Amino acid sequence: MIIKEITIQNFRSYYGLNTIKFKDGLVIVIGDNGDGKTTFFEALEWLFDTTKQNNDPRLISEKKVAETPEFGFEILKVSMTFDHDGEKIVEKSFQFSKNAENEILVSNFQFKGFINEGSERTPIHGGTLLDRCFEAAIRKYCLFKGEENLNVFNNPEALNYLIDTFSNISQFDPFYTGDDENPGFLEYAEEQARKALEKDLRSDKQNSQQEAILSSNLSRLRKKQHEVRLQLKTHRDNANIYSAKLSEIENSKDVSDLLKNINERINSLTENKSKIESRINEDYSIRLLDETWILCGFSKVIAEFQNKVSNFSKQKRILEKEELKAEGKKELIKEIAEGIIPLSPNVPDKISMEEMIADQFCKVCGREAKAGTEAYNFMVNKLSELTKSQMPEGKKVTPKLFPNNYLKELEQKSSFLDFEVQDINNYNEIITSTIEFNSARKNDVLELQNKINIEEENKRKLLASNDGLTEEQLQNAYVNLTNWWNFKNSAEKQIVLLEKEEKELQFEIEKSQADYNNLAKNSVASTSSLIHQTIDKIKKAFKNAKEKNTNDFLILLEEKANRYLEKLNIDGFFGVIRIIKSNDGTTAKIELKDKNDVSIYSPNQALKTTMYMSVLFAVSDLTGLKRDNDYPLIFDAPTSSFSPQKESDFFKIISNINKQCIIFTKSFLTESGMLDSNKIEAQNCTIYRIEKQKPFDNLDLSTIQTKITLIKD
Amino acid sequence: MSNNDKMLKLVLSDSELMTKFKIDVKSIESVEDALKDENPTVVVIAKILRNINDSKGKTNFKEVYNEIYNYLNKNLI
Repeated sequence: MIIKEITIQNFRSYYGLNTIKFKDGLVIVIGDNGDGKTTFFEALEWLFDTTKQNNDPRLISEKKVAETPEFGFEILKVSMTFDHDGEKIVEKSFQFSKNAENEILVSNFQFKGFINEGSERTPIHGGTLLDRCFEAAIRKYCLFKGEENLNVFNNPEALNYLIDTFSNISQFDPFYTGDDENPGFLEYAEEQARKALEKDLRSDKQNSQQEAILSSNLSRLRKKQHEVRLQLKTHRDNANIYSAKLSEIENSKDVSDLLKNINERINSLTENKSKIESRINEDYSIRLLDETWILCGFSKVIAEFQNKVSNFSKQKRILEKEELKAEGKKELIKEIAEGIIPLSPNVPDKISMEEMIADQFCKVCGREAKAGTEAYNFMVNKLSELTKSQMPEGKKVTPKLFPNNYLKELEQKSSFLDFEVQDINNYNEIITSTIEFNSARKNDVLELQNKINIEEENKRKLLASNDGLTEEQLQNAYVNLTNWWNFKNSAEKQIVLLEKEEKELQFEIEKSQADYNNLAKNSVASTSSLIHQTIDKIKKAFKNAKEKNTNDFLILLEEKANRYLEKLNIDGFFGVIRIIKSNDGTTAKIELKDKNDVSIYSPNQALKTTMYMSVLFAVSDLTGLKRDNDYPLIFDAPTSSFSPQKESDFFKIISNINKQCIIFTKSFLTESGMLDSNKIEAQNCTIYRIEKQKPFDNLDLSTIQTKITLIKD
Repeated sequence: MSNNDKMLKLVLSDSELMTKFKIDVKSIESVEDALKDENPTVVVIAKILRNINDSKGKTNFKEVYNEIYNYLNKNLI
């Protein structure tokens, strides 16, 4: 079967009609995280599901939903054209519409199939056609999501299915199962023949005593063997359960370790962040609020106030000085005018002065001083000054230049505010340093948050590459590792002991049965003894044939898988794949060993992936061999753990394998999300790019649309 | 060659069975061949392969068992 074309219409991010054409061989579909790789894969899973009618409205493209008018009809459809003994088409679809309440209504689910024969197209139910050409069980071995789900033998039913489907001979179980609880025909027939023999021998009176002893012994041994087998089954089941759990951990142990380390780093970073956050105190209201608070600018107001007071004070002093100067000048002018040193006010005395004024004659200088003359006025003034100087002090009235104390009050206020300014400046300093401190801590917190974001992103990537296990499972798995290991070891020890016991019991049963048969030889039960022995031998032959068929199949699978392993690991160590059957033959596990049969524990993930993929290619080869028809293998992100070079080589090798292989990957993209043209050039296969149509709103799903571009044909 | 034919060949090639019942596996290519064989063990195996039908369950087991028991009863000695 070769897929020729897949069309996806209005399925989630695949808005409108999207078609990819496929050729035989390798097809690579490149897409970054969230670009639609997994959605494409899920569209195929939806198409391939023939068990139920799934018309979940959540499958519909949000962009199409947003565009659909009220009462308008649209369609969601996924179809595949493939070649399988001629061209065939399967097509699954349903209609959707919007009602007046803006609710999405789905209807008209259809699953159609068509067989193209020349110009004629024969319709057939899609599910029937798909199951006929691409059986559900085979589909399980075609679609693989992630790197951790490639081990086919993780499914306990896988070995039986693979043997039944692809081994040389299928359907042994109706004849022989090896299961006491659910026997095949030969187990049933042997028991019936034995019962017939016992019945016949019991009826022989001659040997009745011996028969009773042997029969009782055989019955006891068989009962004991049955009990041992039941215990064995329980312990094998337990060993399988814990082996599977441990195998899951083995697959995810590296992931668990990484996850544990990431979580520890996240916890430590978060703790540091909390500590730093607790040191940030932004309750500025009790201090000085923030830089916008009025008091922060108050020192300027006070400075202006003090400056003004100082100016007033200065002006006052200037005015006072000027007044003093004016007084002094008057005195000086007078002195200069008189050219003499004035006498004391009381020289001559008051009586002499009054006499000289009355006589209009200056008896000091001996000249006449008539009333109205300068000399006369001088004498009057002199007397007036003398009179003034002789008056009591309190009675002097001197007019003041600044009679009020306003400026003094202002100066006192200014001086008082000096103390307050100091406090306010202190507050300012506290606030500034607090803001600086908080700002620095906020930067620290931001830096830590960035680191946490990086770790969270790493965690998401890690979990995204491990679809099989949730974070909780991974963490629980890590915690439970020791317990599971102990349970498994304990079960395996018990199995060894019980298997030995079962073998010994079987030997004793066979010996006792031989004695029983000998007893029957010459009796009436001789024929039934022969019949029983014949049927018993046939049963054992079927048992051996079943085991040989399984072993042959596993050897063939191993051979083919090892050929692929060698191809996929050209330049590195790769070892030898061994597919080891469990003791009860119902399950198998894949192991990597070296040529000396030494187990390689915990091979690196890339080697593990190529090992599991080699087995898948081998299974696919067997489908071609047994069914005359090969099937495509579709992988979503199978090479996450590969180095770029290893991955590039890997794709080159796959493109040369004669097998249709569709791989969704984010390889070939640079860190900035651009296509790496050199890597693409190096590949010899069809390459598509899927990406989100730009522009889009990263908060609005209804703007998301996946665009498909053919990069290389 | 059908699945039953392949199974027959593999079962008949069991060394213990071949020795015990003197089976010549080379002359037997199919269940149809085996049904016509002179060796009753070979015929019984062929009858089992032809008649066991998994879908019929235990009723079918009883019928087939009775058939082979009676056949062996008549032909073993």
